[in-house]
Amino acid sequence: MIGDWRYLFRFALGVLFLWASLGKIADINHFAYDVHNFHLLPRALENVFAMVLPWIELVAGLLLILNVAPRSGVIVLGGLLVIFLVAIVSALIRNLDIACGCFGTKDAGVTGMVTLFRDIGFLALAVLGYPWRNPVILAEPVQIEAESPPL
Amino acid sequence: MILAAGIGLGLGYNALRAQPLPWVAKPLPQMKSLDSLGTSSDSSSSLDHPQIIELSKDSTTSQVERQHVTTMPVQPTIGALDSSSHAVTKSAPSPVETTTTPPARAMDTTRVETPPPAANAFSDIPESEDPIKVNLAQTKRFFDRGGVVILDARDPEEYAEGHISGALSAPTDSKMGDIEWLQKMAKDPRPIICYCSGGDCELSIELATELTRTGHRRVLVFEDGFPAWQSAGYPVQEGTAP
Repeated sequence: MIGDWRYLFRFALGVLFLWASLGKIADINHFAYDVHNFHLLPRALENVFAMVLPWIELVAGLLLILNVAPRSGVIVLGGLLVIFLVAIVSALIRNLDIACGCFGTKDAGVTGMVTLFRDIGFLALAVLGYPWRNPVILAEPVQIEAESPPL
Repeated sequence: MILAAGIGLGLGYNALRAQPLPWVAKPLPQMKSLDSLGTSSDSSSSLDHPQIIELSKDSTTSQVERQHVTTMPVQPTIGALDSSSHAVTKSAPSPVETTTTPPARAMDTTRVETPPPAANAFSDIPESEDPIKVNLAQTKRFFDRGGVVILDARDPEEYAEGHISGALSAPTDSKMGDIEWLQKMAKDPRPIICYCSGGDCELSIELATELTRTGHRRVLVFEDGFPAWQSAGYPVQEGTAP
């Protein structure tokens, strides 16, 4: 399974999210404000989201690195990346001048096109790393000639 | 399974922290404007502070005057953090320049050691447990009068691009969790004016709210923010220096 070339993408994705989660966990208060700045969640949910999200990233990232439950891990992280994508596009549309907070306090850059393309790149990693099930290979249809009945 | 583990770990970790994040973010207070609080901030007589005027006329240093020397000059005290690059705005009053205390000494005065101001020094700014809104004209008057701390709640990059002259950089994102800084500011007897980018920007409100929660009772929010200040042609400073 580890020899699978898709594992390389999953490994890279896992490391990325592990790194991102540690940055957020190190300063949850800061991350909570980053979440708030997007103005996408009800204020009542912002802190819970900030508390939980980094740990989901951490668990999923570790699973991908260890190649345990890779499908679930990629689905969870891919889902998060889609959510982030929506948030970034929303911030760009509303012309919000806010920090991404994608990597916690280490990511002080303003949410912009770079963030958007970076997220799309990570999403590509998730798609490429997803352990698709082997497709059923259909054999070439064989023309079976009806045997002529014995005379 | 991943989601359940993440939720469990996240909530558990937060509960074990010394200062856990509250489950529900505290709502921002409904701020009242300075006008609605019955203080005539537009009245120049209440803002001019005769003590300062007297200070400029009389060079003797009485106890009251000493208090003003150390507490009233806003921009010079702000410059204490970086006195070498400090730029005193031309529009600011010049109590420091006319006092017997050398400016350098005033700049070296730390906030904690600053004695409390005279009882009526900020009588036009009522004490409040919530931040108070101020408009452009009021902010400009406080700026000209001096004696207030101006905090720029935006990111350092935006601060460096341009900020109100004399304002300190206090990015909400980093200062909110800085308990030591918040407590230090709470002990500062001078009123504090917070601002950010105006419009939908809530950084200044958040910072001001945290300052009031830490104990400061005279925190103002200039909601129109830097764009309005800049548009009005008021003193602006570029770079990282106040």
